[in-house]
Amino acid sequence: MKTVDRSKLNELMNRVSSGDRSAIDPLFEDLRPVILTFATKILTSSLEAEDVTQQVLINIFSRSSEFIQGKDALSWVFGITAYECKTQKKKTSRRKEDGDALISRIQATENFEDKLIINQLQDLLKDIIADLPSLDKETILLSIEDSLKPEVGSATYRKRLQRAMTRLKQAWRVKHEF
Amino acid sequence: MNSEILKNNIKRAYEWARFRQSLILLLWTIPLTLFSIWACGTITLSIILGTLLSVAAVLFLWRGQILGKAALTGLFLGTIAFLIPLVFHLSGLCCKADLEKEICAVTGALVGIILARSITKVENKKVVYTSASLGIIILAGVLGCGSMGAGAVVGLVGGILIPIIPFYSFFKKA
Repeated sequence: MKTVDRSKLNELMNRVSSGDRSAIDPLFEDLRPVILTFATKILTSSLEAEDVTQQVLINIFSRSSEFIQGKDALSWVFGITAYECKTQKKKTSRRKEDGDALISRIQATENFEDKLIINQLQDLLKDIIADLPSLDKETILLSIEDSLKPEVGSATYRKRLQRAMTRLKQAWRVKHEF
Repeated sequence: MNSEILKNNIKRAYEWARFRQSLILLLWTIPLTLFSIWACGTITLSIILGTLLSVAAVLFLWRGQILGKAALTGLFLGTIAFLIPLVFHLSGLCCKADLEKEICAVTGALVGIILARSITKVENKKVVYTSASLGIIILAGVLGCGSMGAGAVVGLVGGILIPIIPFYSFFKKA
């Protein structure tokens, strides 16, 4: 950061606060880099620091009549900058929180849609299974419910299940054309 | 944002803020005008003078620097020039003995002395300061003395100017 001439800054600030328009440009040129450096140190993002610098400059000039002549202008400027940086930080964290909430809401919506699709598919599947022969129906239900044990041997059961699944797939294709 | 655009935004914000802050003087000039309407009964004259006084005071304070100082000094002394004759007028003291002109002249002289003292404290642009302050003092004073006739107004203005001229030339030499 380039060295700040405090006495020059005080003099310019006094002139601006009393209504001397010719001091606006030099004060702007002197203050801008100082505020930007200060804001960059507080805020991590340089873009945010640039935004804050612009806001602080507008605040300083519009509140210049509040500046008490004889006080240190740089301290006054840093006070306003620190406040703006704090506000910016709050805004950023609030935006992040809002973003997180939005993401979880979207996720919840996606889960809901998934559940709805699964329910619809299950209903369709139940309809098709209901139309199957009773042996196929029984075999498929046995395969879904792990707790139930088939009454026949495992090889026979596997064969039955294979046949039942083939018929189920055929019935699905016929009914839903895919 | 471009530096020039930012600078223009800053200047606009600066002027707008100064103008808004200078509007606070209306809290001073509007009651004076209303009091003048109530006490003098000259509605049109009071409204015209009150408007001129308000515009001048707000404009001077908005421009700032020496004009801003002049606006505040002028309003303070103008209020004295406004109130003293009106108080005498309302109490009936001046009307019984027909002392309106004299009271306005004495008030003007008192205000003139205080103004002359304040001019000595101003370092630069004394003429601008004196003219601006005088303008506001006379407007405020006439707001109070206007209903008492042209003689009272002449007495007030003369009373203000008489102490200023010698004070002014004396301090100019010094």
